[in-house]
Amino acid sequence: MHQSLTASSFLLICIFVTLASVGQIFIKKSVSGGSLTRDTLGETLKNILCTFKHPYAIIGFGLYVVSTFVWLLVLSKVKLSVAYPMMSLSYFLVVILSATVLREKVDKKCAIIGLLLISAGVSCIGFGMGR
Amino acid sequence: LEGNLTPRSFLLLLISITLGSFGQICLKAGMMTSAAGVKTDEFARQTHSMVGTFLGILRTMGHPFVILGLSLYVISTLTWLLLLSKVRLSVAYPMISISYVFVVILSSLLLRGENVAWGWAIPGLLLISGGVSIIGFGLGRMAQGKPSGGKS
Repeated sequence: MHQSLTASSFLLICIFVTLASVGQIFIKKSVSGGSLTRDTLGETLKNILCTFKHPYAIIGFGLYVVSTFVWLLVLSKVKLSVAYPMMSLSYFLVVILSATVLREKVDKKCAIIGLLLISAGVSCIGFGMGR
Repeated sequence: LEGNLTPRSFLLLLISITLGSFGQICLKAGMMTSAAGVKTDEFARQTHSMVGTFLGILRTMGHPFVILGLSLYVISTLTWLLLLSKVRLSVAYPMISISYVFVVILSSLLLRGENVAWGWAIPGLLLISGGVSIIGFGLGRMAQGKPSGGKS
């Protein structure tokens, strides 16, 4: 089976990353506060399951499920050792959406350097694919 | 400091990463099996539509490896959420990079036809890990009220 990284499979990876990142933002919006807990594992798990009732959480997990379908499609076309590191492109949207939609304070310098390093890394992985 | 890595949360982290990585290997193995792969493509070509592709994927989901992979994926995600409730993000983020390295090594060892180009993969993984860690570092600074450029 030929498993090269074509433009269309890269687009699929981008669609996956977008769905997963937007899903992540919805889930974050549904969990209030997000403070660290000292509860037992059982209690924490119960809290996590309780958040599923929130409408934003349902949208978020819905997007996750759709993104999983897209990911399976990606895996049917691209090598795992290439596709998986490219998941790190999700940091782009997560960082940008956290700052704009969630109005979280973002350390700009660190975010820019980090995102540049990630894109350089993903490019390396992509180049390696062409060999 | 609240939210530091304890031996217990580190164990939880290793469990989450290991399950997640093996989950990906199973998913890939399932999607690779010629039967599943060919069916998806043929079906999509026949119907020429998104619906066809979607149905093809649904059919491959019956493959035992895909079911196993999806279950591991779900368990790993739950473990990760559990971990995030215990550990600061600035600590958890750099740890995510372990999973990228782990998945690439596992795929080269366990999957057919991956032929990892290490000359590109190693610098690529180092850059990605560095980038993710720096974003995590930035989160830590914000949490302590010391953003870059600030004088505090």
